[in-house]
Amino acid sequence: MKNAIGVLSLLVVFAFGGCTKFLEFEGDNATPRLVINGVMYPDSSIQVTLTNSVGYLSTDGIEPQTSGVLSLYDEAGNLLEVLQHTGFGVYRGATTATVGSRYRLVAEHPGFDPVEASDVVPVPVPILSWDTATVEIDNPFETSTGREYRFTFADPPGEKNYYMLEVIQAEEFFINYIFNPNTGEFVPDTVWLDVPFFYPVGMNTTDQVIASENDSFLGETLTFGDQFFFSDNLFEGSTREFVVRVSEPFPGARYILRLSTLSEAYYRYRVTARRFLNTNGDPFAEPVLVFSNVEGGLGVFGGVSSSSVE
Amino acid sequence: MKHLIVLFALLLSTALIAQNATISGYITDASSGEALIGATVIDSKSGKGAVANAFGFYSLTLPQDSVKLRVSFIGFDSQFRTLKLTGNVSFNFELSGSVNLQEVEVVGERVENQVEQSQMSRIDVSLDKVKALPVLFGERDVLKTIQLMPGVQSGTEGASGLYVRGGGPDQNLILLDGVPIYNASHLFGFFSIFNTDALNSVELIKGGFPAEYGGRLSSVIDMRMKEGNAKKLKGEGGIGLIASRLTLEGPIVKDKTSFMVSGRRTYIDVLARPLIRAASNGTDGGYFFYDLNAKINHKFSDKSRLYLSGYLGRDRFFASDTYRYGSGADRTEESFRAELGWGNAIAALRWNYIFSPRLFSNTTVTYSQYDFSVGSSIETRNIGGNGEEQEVGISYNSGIRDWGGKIDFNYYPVPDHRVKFGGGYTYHTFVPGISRLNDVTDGALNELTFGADEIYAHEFASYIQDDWTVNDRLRINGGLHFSGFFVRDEEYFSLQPRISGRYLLSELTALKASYAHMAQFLHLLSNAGIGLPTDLWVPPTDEIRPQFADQVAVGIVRTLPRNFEINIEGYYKWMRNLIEYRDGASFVAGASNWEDQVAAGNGWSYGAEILLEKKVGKTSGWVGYTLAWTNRRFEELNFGNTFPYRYDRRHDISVALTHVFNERVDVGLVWVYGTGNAVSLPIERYQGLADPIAGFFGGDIGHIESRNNYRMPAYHRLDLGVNLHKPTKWGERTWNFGLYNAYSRQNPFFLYFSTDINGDQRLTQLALFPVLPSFTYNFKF
Repeated sequence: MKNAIGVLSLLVVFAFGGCTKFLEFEGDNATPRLVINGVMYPDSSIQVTLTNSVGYLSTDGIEPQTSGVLSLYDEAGNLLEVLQHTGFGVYRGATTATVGSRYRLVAEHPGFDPVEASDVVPVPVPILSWDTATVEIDNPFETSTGREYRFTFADPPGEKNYYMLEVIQAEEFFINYIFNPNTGEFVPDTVWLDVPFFYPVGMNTTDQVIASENDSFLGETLTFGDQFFFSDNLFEGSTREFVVRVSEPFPGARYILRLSTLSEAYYRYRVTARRFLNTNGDPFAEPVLVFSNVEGGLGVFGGVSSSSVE
Repeated sequence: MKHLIVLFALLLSTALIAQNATISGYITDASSGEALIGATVIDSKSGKGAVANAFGFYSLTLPQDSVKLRVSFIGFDSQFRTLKLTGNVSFNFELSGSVNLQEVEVVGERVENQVEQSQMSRIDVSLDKVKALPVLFGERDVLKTIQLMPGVQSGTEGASGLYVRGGGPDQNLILLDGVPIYNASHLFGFFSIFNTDALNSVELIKGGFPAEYGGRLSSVIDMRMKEGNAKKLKGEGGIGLIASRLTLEGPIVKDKTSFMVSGRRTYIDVLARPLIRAASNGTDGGYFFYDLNAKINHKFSDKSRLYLSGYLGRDRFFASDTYRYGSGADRTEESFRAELGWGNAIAALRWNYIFSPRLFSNTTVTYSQYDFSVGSSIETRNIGGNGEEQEVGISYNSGIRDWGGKIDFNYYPVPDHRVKFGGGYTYHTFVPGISRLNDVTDGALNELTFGADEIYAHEFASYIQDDWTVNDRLRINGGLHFSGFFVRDEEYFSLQPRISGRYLLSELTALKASYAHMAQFLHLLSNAGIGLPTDLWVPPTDEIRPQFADQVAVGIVRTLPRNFEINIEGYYKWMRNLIEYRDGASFVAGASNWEDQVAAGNGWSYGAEILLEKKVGKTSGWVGYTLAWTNRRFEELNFGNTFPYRYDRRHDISVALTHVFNERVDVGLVWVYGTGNAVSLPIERYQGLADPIAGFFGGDIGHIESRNNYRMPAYHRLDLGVNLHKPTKWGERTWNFGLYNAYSRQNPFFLYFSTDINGDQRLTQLALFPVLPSFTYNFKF
């Protein structure tokens, strides 16, 4: 009887053990394509990075493509200039992007099919009024003191607009730490670097416009993130007040409330790329398709304008 | 109320049938007293006939004259009765099983064979076939047999999920004694919850839905449990590789009160636990499922019967582990426990009452519950010094509970009209995912609950339909189904016209056509990548609207020589307000509001189905072929472009045959082929945008060109089985030997990326089952 149970046990394990097989896959050796990545900012020269794609499972590397010819055209199709390669696949032009203008970029490179992308530099939307207050923040696990930003802006009517909201922490002085091999500890450097360091800080909000387009966390009323992306779907053409909260300010740091207006292509890329990066490797997550506006290739050529208050 | 209904029926009857009389009663199995659902009563003189309903009741109104009745049912000897009809009479017929089924003439289907029926896209699933065909681990499974029908697809390897004409698994109305079942799966879908021994009849409808059914878009699977042998105590059961089952049925009061109880339990846990323990130190774990069907019915009189039935089933995974670390006063013991469980519980109390020979009623009160829970906890205890204890746990629960009531009437004013009408109400309680975190430190409990709140909803439905024999060639089944749903502050109503009909081209050939408008208020959130029981039933809201479908179908049915029948149908189905998880959504991503995790869109499916079937003879079975296209379009998915449904299957072939050599030996064969499922896989990889100004530093991005862009390899499999029967002193025993996946085809279950021996990443297919022998010892007495 004992033997019988053992045999049956093995059969069950065998049954559910499964067997695997490697499959021929297009992703092993997909034909590489050109990848353009670049964002246009108002009054800044246009700069993009040119690289290549590889098969998803290919051992080939993603390389900067340094022999490209990248031609920049205006909306009427006039050639403005050919961007110059400045190293590591980065191409820069002399043309400064103008608010409201559309640009088209055509990239050619030996060994690849040509690709092109076009986008517009959106008009910045000014923050009309703003205020701050010290508040208590109810996190799921604790209550803490924080700062509340209350601000207003007017969504331009008659057009679809896309926004990104951030609170940027700017530390004017950055303390460098040095590893002491004798003690095995990191100790502050005696030299203070005069280099501002900017990074978006974590925010939370109960705003339903923001919640509707961002992944909520721990409940339906509170949305967390260091960058909130939202469109004017729910307040098209109207002036609206938003409220976000951040943790207690870091002493000595400056805080900048930045409202960026994104082109549709850049908005879609950022939202989908963020979702991809957040869920990559999660076997329980639905696959994410990352948006691209590069015809014949991949990547994004987008436009951003910002308004900020400090 | 009762008097009003009788009065209404009498008035209508009187107006329609001045010189007629009605013969009514029940048709049952002589050996058990079980209702013979679908048995026919035909007057040979007039050619008029009636069909026994789901409780075995028939009613046939004929001119007051001499009549010659033939009562028949496939597999049973026909009975004949000649009488002079001068007034309403009641006859109960008890049919005896045919001695030699293989040679039987198909007289039992004279009236209601596929050619005659006004309904199309309807299949009576033979439970004998369910028992005779080979299946995984020898576990008979009615849903696996239904998957072999054209137009019905299985999801993944071994799973019992149903995808009917491009619909999702949530779009099947699975009724057990009239009670909806919300999750019909054990062990992630490898087995269905239905114990075949406990079933009396199974009917599948995939289009041309009669008005009596509603609430789902794509199919109806109407299963009736056995009532219990009213004559004598009987039993049957089986001891299989992974599970055993036992069914007992018999009279409590002969021909008046009977019972049926049927149970099944797996012993995977019993087998696996010693191995797990032996292979680890302190680890324990296992899995089992069980189900229990029970029914009792009582006959108060020929006019009044009561049925009480119930089902209880549960799956449970469990694991625990204990280990120690540290030394001295810091010596600590940590215990980990995890559990995953889900199950259904249903109950139905039904009362049949015959108001008049032409008016039959059934009143039902129902309860249905499905719940899913997963939890884990870690208990940390200092065993070296101060004895401090801490337990941190997280649990997640979801489910749905229904209370319902309905009343259905069958009304037979004249033989050319069979009217059904009725209505019902259901009170839903949705538990759409509630998580709890708890932290117990030295006895002090901190608990945090988050997730969506319970949602309460009211649903009602009413219907009327008439199966009208217009003339010798034309027969129409038309009706209206009206339903409503109330949730939060939202109200939804739906009026659903249904019509189907057949036109006889000859005695052997019929053209058929149907149209059905269907509404479904419930949605199922289902993760596309895996088939876990985490699927979540949710109601419509102001953001997520009810689902609707329109389906048209045309077909031709022809009875062929040598008991063959061929049925060819074409269909087109439009579906609106389907939901899918958005890109990146994950059921383990926290208790995010489910409404934010889903997108709504439309779908459509079209195709053709061929079913060549032979129901009797030594060799019987069917060959089915489906050619179909199924697509989805969601504004928020795949950048608004059309994409194939995950189970878009261009070709689907199934062959299911049995052959009886003699009374002692029969064999079964199943072969299936299906185009591979569509899944989303990245084909390319590239460097994402790095934008320091925007505080964004993109990493490598896997590029998926479009949703469900990759086809898994095709699926095909051959199963073989043999049944060896032998009469014994106490009854009969049957040894069943089976080979699942006889040529050991490695069918894809899941795709993932792994590394080969050279260190290269490869797309890898996991196949679950190679060739699997099975044996089961079955017995009945």
